[in-house]
Amino acid sequence: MIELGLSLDVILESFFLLLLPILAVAILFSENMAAIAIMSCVFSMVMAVIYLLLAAPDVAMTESAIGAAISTAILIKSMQLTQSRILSDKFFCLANIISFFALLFFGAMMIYGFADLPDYGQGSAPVNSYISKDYIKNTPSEIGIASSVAAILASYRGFDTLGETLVIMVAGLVVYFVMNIERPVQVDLLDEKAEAVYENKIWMTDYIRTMLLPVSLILAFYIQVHGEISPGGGFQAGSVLSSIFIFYFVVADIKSINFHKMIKTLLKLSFVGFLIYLLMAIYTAVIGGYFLEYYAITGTLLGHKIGIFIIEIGVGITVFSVMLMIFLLFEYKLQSKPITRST
Amino acid sequence: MNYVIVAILLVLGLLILLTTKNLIKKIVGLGIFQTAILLFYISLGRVHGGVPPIVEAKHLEDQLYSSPLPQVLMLTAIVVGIATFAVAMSLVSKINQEFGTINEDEIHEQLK
Repeated sequence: MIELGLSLDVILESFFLLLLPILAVAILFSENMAAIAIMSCVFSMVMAVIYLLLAAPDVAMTESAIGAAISTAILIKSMQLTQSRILSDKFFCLANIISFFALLFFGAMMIYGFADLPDYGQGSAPVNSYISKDYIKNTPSEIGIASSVAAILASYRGFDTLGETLVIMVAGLVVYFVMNIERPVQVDLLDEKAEAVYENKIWMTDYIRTMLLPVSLILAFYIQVHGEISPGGGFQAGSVLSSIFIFYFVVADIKSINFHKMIKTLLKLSFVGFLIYLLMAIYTAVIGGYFLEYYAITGTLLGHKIGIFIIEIGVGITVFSVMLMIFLLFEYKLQSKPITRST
Repeated sequence: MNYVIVAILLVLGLLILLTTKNLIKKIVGLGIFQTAILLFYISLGRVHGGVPPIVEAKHLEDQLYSSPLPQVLMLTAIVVGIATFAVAMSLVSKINQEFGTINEDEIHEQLK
């Protein structure tokens, strides 16, 4: 039984791994921008399945929400914004052939170098031996939660995560300033063709509102709250939640939404998320522990649980608000842009 | 197998980046390059017969776990990756606003 399970694992893994270069080659030779967006979406989905097969459910969850949903949405929106549909690249010019052979050399060197790595899947490899082993061994006794990933993310390497939350917040801020939305919107009248699409959208919105949205919201909150004892946490829940809302806004009646106010609110919300994290860290230092030492909150393992729970909420709020804000900025820019119609 | 795929994806990502003149497609190529690196790290942490690192104290001795550390690092790398991807896309749309095109050659023509 175990033999069979293992071989099935290997077969599935190899199948999905072989899909990746095929998709990459398809993207390389594709000249249709919409096809590129869809293929990069499929690429991320396949990647998420591979992460799941490699026993990394947290990464799989994030990849499927972010790679497949959010980045595809942003990609399509920026394609609409720049009005690029068909490419006209020449593949067989001299520069490309030179770069192909240079990269072929690079790839050969990489494979030659990889030959010196420890065998794939070996439990005794250096990656699995020293600090990782310690983390796994000490998580139940030192942190008191089951998910080793959440323990490292929020406690052992909490300072890294603080920095990463700051990076995400700053990236949101940069997009906000680059997009420069301080201009009046030009709302133009819908023509007949757009009206038909609009009708369709309303029907889909109703379906999403009644069927998908509540279920997905519960899923996102489950991932957030349950992150300590199962795969999940702030990063995953934030990206799942924002991908649901992006899906909603893609099909929703967008004209009736006050974008300006919403974007401003989300910007403030991303600061709030980061501040929750930072204040938690300062609080632990003030009450007598080290910076980010949750143990000091109650003096027992319960303190760790409370601390991790609170900072995961902070991370979740920041990730959610930044992702949704970025999408809405692109959407707003698209709406306010004077549309050049072919008809 | 995994490492060979990683090397092929690194090459293909860079090749997309180099052969196209379209700025958006360049960023897609960069995304593939990044994903290859993520796959490399996750593959390093894989243990045959290992389960996801959800640890219970009573199974600590008799159960293999895949390494949680690369997973944590890659988890945050994905989220930071999409944030920088969005910054790049907003810069591309700014370039489009200034030059009216996102083709590299045409931008060079206008700069002359």
